[in-house]
Amino acid sequence: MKKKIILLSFLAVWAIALSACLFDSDEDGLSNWLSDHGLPDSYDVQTLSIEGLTPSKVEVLRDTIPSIAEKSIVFGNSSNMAHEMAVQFLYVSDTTYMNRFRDADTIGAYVSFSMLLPFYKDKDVPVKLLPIKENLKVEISWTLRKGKNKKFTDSLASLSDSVWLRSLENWEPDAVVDTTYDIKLTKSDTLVFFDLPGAFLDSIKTCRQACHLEMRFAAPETENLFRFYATEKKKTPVFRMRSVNEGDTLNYFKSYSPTRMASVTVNNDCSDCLVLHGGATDSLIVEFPSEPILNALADFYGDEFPYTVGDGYDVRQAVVLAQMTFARNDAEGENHLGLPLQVVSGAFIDSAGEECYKREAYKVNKKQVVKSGYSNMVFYDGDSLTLQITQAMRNFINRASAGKKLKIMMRLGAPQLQDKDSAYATHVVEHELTKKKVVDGDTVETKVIQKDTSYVFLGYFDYARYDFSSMMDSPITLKLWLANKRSGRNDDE
Amino acid sequence: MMNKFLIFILCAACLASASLLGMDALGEEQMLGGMVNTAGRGFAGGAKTSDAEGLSVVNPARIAFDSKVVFNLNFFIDMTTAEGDGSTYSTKNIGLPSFNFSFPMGTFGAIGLSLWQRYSSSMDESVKDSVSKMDAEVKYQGSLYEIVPTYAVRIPFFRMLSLGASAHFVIGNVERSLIFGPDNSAVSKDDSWATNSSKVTDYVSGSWEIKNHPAYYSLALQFRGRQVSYFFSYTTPYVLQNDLAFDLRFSELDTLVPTRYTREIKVPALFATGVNYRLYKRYNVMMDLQWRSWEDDIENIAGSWNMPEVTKTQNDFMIAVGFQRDGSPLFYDPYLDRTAFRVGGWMKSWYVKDVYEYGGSIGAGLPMGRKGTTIDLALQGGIRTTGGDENWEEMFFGIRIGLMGVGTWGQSRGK
Repeated sequence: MKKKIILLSFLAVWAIALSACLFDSDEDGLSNWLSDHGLPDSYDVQTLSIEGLTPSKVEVLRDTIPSIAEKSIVFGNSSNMAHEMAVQFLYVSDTTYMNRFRDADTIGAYVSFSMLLPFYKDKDVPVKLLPIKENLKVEISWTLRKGKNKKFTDSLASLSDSVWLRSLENWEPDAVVDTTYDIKLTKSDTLVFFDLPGAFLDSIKTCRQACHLEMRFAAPETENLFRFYATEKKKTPVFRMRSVNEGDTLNYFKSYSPTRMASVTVNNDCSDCLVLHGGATDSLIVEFPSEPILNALADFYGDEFPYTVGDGYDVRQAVVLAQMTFARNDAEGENHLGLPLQVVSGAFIDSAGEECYKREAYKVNKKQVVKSGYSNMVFYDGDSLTLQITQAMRNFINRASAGKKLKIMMRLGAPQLQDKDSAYATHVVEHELTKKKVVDGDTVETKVIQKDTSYVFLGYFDYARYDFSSMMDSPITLKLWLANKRSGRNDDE
Repeated sequence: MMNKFLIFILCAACLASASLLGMDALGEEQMLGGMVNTAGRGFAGGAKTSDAEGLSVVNPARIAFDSKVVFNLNFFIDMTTAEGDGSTYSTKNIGLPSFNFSFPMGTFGAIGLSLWQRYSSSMDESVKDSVSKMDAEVKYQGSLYEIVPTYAVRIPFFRMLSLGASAHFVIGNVERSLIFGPDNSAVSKDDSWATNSSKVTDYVSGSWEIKNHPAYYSLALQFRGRQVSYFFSYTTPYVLQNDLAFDLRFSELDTLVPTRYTREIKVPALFATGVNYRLYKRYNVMMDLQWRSWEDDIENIAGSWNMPEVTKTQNDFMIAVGFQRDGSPLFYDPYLDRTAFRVGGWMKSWYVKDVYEYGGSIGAGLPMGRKGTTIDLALQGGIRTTGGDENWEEMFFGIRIGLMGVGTWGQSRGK
């Protein structure tokens, strides 16, 4: 047995020694081997600009479905868009209180909303948002459904958000009452009260056991947009009833919080206008004719494009980055927060035979951002808008032989705070402050480093409006960075 | 003992190589199933018979002369250095080219089964590109396996002759992944931001099968004389079908629609013959010949990047000569007497044009215990010359280790 072990050990050592001496690689060994055997070790990049494109089809998809409001909700008007609030209450009434309420000499009720103060006090918003002073005309409408048994409350409690939202689209109220409120809001105000009209009080009196109350608030004539907390804890709106009899020293109150809230928007722009609104998920869908792009690629490559056979593994379809530049005139839009808005781009890509939406990734051109800011913003210096459409372009080239067209989606995004900061990520910035102090009669200056968090976007939408009509009428430039088949460098070798 | 054996395998694994030639075509061929006893005598000895010689994938008739059940497992540890243009590149690899099983059934003949990794391509390297300064990752992982059921029988009344037939069922897959960084030298400095650090992955994967047939077949005739034995075999031509999916990826979740493509490789018929001459008692000399006449070039995986579309072929020919001193079957003989010793050499022209391989080997069959279990060892080395513009020569060194279990199932003491 020993003999065998010695023999095996000897073989192993011999193999290692031989390997070390003979089977060693040079630093460039593999690289040279790959090169000589026709394998690349990098891909060639080439750029191509295609100018003078015009869309073959542009359409706006409007966001008409009400949306659930959780943290905050807007109310009023902004840039041809009306924002209404729908509030749902579901409760079992306090019989003792309701008897007192019905019989009381004086009764009242109101709904109060908490102002979204973090927004109004946000230091990143450069415009002055408060005070707001207005005789606000509010259209209050409601429905009240009553029930007696558990079945009634269970049926309402199990109503899903999506079904409720759909019901708001064709909502028919029991009553509509116009009321005017004197609104004066300053930084020290926290609540806005909407006293409810007598017709509502008569209606609520009839609630004896379980009740389902839906209210809607609209202010079609105002020029202001109010921002309130929605169903956020502790700041939630409150529906409160009040009753007092002659001789009472106290008001008797009963309060309820909403079960859920929804924002209902009404777009007052013409249906075929190429207008997008901030804060809404309206989309602009732009489609381009294939021929100019494919012809330009064919000229560039010097042979017909796309291939009809075997085009899938032709690396010339590998668009590494694509961007599209539009002429821009910000006078055709209006914003309210004094900040530039990012225009979000998206693609419709084939996924297992289905067309699905995918938001485009964004690669930062750091040099350019530092010099002149992000190029995908409106309401900013400059006269052009540049969007990255890499996914859309890849999908188009990859499926061009099957008749696919280049189709992109545009949407107004959030206000951009880091307009010239190429980080494109939340990070900490340091400011050096000079503080003066009087010490023994002398003024002494001390330098203090203050840290602050820099965010890419403002946490709130600007309910702005932008008309893309002239942008779509002007010539558009498409620039491509293509991963090409290897050219001269390797062929010459 | 087994633990030490495994430790040795693991030690050797870190050295471990396959040839880089023909990677985009079929890969390196493991001749004759990489059987270690055969490899030890320079791939000669297809005609050599004994009571436990085991299965031969080229000569299916041979097992008819075996009288014992044989199970055989083969390991291959290989180092290759390619040298050309004044630079060298080495790879190491470990493989399991085949395992074989044969079961003699007396007058009913013998059956056998082999799993043979016939062609393999293996590479997993990264290289820093001088232009992009990024690591290019080159990975090839391909295996074409054959499952070979065999039947052989000695001809009644002509017991010195046997006939054998085998079917070769092909399975396996191939995978190639090339990850490249950008070469921005052709774009302006202001435009290079767009592709910096953008890697593109060219991923291809596919499977192997035989076109329009479940298998291809080998037929062989073997003669065993007192001193001279020889065989002749014919293997049918067939068309290999490789269904490939080409996929250009920018990330795991961001890919183009894969393109499916099937390449077909016409593999010609194989003629093989061999002779074994018993000099004296346990001393044998032997010579084998194999020949395949390739007519068509082999389509490469290729795809993107202007890589060569085809691998040019040539007549695939092998001549092997070897010597073996059989080990004594008597357990009480000295250990060295019981050990089989082998030596041999071969010359082979590959299926790849202008590639010629010259190799030599020595081997030993080390008996373990009384029951006939044997560990076969073979050390082999040689060179592969390549013509053409590239002219990269390969030098290879390999260690093969085989485990052979011999049993006497179905054998009565009286026989």
